[in-house]
Amino acid sequence: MSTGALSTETSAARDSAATGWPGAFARWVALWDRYETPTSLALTRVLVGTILFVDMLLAWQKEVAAALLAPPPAGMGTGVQAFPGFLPAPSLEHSQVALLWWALVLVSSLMFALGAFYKLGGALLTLSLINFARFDPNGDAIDTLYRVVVPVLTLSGANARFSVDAWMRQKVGRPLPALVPAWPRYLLMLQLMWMYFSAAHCRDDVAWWPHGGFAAIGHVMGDPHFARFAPGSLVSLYPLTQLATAISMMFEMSAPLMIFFTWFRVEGGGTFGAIARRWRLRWVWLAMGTALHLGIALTMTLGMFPYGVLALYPLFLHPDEYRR
Amino acid sequence: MNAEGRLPRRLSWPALRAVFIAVAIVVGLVDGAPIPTARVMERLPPLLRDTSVLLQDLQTALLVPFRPIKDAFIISQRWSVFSTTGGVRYRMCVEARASSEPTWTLLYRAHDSEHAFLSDMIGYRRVRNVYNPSRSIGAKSTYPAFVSWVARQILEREPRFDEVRVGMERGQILPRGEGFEPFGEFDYVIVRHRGEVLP
Repeated sequence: MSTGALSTETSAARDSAATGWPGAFARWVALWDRYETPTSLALTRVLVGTILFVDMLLAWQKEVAAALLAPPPAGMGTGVQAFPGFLPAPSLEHSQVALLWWALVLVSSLMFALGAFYKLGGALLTLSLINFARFDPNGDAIDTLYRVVVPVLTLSGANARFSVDAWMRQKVGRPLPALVPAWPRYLLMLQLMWMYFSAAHCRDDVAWWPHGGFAAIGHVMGDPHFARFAPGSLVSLYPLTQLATAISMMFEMSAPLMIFFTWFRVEGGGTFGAIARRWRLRWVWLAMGTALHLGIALTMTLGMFPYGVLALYPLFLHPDEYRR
Repeated sequence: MNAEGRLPRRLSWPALRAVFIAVAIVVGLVDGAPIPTARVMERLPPLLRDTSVLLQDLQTALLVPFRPIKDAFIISQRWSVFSTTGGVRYRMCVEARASSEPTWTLLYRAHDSEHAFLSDMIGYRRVRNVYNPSRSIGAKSTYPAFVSWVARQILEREPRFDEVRVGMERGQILPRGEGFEPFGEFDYVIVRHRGEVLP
């Protein structure tokens, strides 16, 4: 089985010739000890930071930045304690603290996107996203996803390219490394695949399945709180929404296959690998995902969800693929 | 691990990191295991229901050591994204009136361009998540706070009004994409008076 499609092998990989459990453990260690150029991680960092920054700007533009976090009557927040407990929380006496937490997300997401004092920015962004969720617990799946993604990206070498840090290090003659650990990219790819797969098997509404007539997306487009166009105005497109529902389910259920498509993208995998490469199944899957999210962005008012997930798609490409 | 396949006396950083990652993946899979929800369990035959309850207890027990991390980061690996659609849904209506007036003036109704007061603010996804009722738990705990906040926004901007009423009009998603049929009945109705929300 080839793993060359993933990243550069290290000495640990070369030591993994042992057999049985010790061999399996050595191969597992070697897999997570691979290095690669930082392009994929850096692009993802820029996009994730930008999405969060824009979301905070939107909150300001819509005049709800402080109201989301402040407790009643000034706002809609929970009024719970901050994490860790010694940090200030918005309260009746200190409702302006809400604005400080909002500003912290804004500033740290910008630091994150620019890769300026990246580790500090990432740590602050992680902390502020956690607390944002404490004060305003009604986030979407994208908010939960980013509370996983941001800390993992922070631990990565995603600032080694397209960043202020890299530029500054270059200026002082101490450039950031050309290769960075690949494990954050692998882990985040797995996270995204799991999110899709879990979303599919959590759907207990028949409308997502053939016996429910694949009516789910048509239903969402009829929900006044989520539809972009007036409910019922796109009735002639209903068969398209059924097709979109079927494709969405197929896409999400097939997410685990992306592990194999990625593993065997260059070579190996026997007949299955050959078919996947010949039919470009990895690209087909990515195209389906992109179409799904663009469709959501076009027809539903879900805010940053579709863009936020698409911001993670650069992770699915090996850095070498950006050179072509 | 050395070339002979023996475990080393001390784990190197890459080995330790690989162990951490393995634990994180396993914990994530346990957390996100597709154990039926309470609503689905109601429809299961007794044997499957008992098995599901057993699995749920096992899942809870296995996650006990990791609960502080889950709680701190407020994360879950169970991704319910539009798990239910259709059926009974709501559209929010916001009305206001002066204390001397018997009738309410409709200011905002979801997806109604003729009644779109503060729609940019109310339609923002983070605000919508505060008031949009959940199919499983109904109105969220933050809903009354939202009503107070929106009442304050309206009464500050429109001094001619003295009270604000917010309610969720029940309706049904029609089949084959034909839209939304309101029933004219309201749930989660809350009224706020000027004195309650403004100093």
